[in-house]
Amino acid sequence: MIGDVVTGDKVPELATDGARALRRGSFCFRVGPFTARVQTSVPTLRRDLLQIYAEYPLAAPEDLVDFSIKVAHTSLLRCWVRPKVIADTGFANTPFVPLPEDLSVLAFEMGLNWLVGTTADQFLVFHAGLVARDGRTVVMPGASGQGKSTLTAGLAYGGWRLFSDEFALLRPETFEFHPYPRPVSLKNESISVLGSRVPQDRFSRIYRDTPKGTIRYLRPPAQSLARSHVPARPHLILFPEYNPDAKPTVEEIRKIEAFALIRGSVVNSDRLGPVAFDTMCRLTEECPVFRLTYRSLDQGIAMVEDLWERLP
Amino acid sequence: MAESRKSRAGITPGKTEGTVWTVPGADQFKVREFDTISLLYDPRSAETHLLDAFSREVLDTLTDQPRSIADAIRALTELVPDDARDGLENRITSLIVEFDRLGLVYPVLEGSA
Repeated sequence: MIGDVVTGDKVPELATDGARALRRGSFCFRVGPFTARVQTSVPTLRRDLLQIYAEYPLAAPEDLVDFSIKVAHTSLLRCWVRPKVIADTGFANTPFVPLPEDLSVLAFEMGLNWLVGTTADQFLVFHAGLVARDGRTVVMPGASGQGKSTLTAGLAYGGWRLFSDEFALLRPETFEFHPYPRPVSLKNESISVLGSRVPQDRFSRIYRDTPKGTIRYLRPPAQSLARSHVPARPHLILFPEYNPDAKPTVEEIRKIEAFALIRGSVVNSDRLGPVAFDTMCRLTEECPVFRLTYRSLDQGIAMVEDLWERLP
Repeated sequence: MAESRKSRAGITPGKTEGTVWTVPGADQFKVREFDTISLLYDPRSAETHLLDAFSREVLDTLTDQPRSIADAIRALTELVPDDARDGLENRITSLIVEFDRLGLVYPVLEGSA
């Protein structure tokens, strides 16, 4: 694991200094089905990356690299004067903006998200949280800010296996979701909500004044990372909405509306064409789809558990 | 209003005498039904269209064989009870204009090469 490198323990075939490997661009690790290579000379990012991803497995030398990300200062001047960094994924016309050096890990995270969302076409990619139990999944599509990351993290630390809080990856050929367990990006109030129920050593430091407010990363449960090579079948689709002022409801969604909502959550349906259409139809046919409105994380978790128990 | 809106091919719906409408590529469409709605996937545009039962019937009528709007109206009127025919011509005309805008149907002018 990356953490073994950080502590200096010898990792057969991969015994190296993590910081040196990052500088040289030879630092490769696995996250779900992908192998990512990272290069950076930014000290802040080296430190944060090696802490947040400490439990992720290092890639073997023979592993093919799926994504290559470099995070560097935007100019020589910006190494010292109000230092700013930007991600370089090797593609032109990317949407990244320079960020303060202190937020370097956000640049890396955005770069990796962008690569998955735009190039991982071996999967149908949903903007969704995803957890699993007993080989079956609960997929929770939703836009940012509706509480899906918080609910996903709450379920993950409540005994469910975390697949992802950001992208659900469905392989059309096998009709199985594949784990993609990234550090969960908690924002603003969600930080204290999860902070009261998860040990502090599972968190990154706090990042303030980001484009989305205050962020703190929550490392996935170790058991989820250990099984990040094991896929699971679709079983239940939920559209969660956190609303502290609303009446808690569980509403089954008609199939035609469910298809439209599912289609809206898929980021690469246009590129996958007929395969995407067939897979989304199958998902709609085979999985019950509900809208879930809840007032608190505890209530949301309880509602998911209750619905799971009631389904055949 | 449908009568004042030109179709994608530049044909004014109110002046469609001689226009025969056809559905090329219908064999490539993927169609699935949920509830009473048909989902129609057009691989040429990668768009998915939602059709209610009546819209589906109109498109199927043009798929079966190329027809003018008048022919389509005649064929579909026979399928509709007398008490449901009010406004039928306008509905059918508007649908064909919309199908043209979406690229599902194409006009073939009579006598064109």
